[in-house]
Amino acid sequence: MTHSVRRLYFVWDFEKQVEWINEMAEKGLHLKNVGLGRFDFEEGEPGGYTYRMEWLSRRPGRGDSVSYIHFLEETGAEYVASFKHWVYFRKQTADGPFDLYSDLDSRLNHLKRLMTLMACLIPLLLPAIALNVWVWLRFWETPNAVMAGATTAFLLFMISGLYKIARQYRHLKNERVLHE
Amino acid sequence: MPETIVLTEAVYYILLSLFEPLHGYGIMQKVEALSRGRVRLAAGTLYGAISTLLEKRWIKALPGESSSRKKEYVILEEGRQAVISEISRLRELIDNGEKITGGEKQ
Repeated sequence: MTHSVRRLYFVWDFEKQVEWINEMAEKGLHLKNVGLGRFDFEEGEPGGYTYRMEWLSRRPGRGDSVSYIHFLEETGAEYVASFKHWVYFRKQTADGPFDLYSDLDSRLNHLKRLMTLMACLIPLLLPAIALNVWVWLRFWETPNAVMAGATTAFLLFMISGLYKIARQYRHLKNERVLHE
Repeated sequence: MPETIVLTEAVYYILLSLFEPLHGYGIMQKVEALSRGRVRLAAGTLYGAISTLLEKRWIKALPGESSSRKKEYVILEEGRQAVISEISRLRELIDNGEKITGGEKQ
């Protein structure tokens, strides 16, 4: 039986997202599919699987992603689902600990890909803000002021998210000076 | 004097494992065995390392049997040389370390 859960996780909260997915797996609900703000689970053995996720630089079907996913499958990981460039893998807990990265450089590269994603998304908001501000200054209609305010608030929210990733990146970069 | 290359521990062990042909999962197991469980390579990290090593032609992929989907890799001469140099470098580190710390046992 499929349990569908609606939940929103932002780009920079991917670690919280995978933590939640693993908590569900502990309870016996195993992730099967992912959509926009939607997670589909199927019932199974509690704690049977460990889940990991990452953002690839290209969609799962394109370029290097194909051989990457194939390689992971060869090492015993199961390719569960994807959403845009997000890919979800799982491994049976009986097979031992499961991680996608075992060194700082891999984690740094992943964070860099996420910062690139954010850098692409954030500018998309600017035309919306600019347009609403212009229309508001021209016609003094309150809805435009509200829209400009709301989009600006969202822009600031996204920037704070980018900052969170950047801070984590800087922290790991400093660690990297000492060790791998 | 040319700048010495310092290999990461993961790359060093990957190269060492590939003195004989192995596929991805085999490399992970071999490295874990060589390091007595201390070094556990994650698949994503391994993939990145293998891609770079292939690019540098320190290893090569072997044409696999069409039935088996697991691709195998093996070390090339340049990779072999990199390991030899690395061993000398590590020996220098150990010699100096033991000299200065007086060879204190842990």
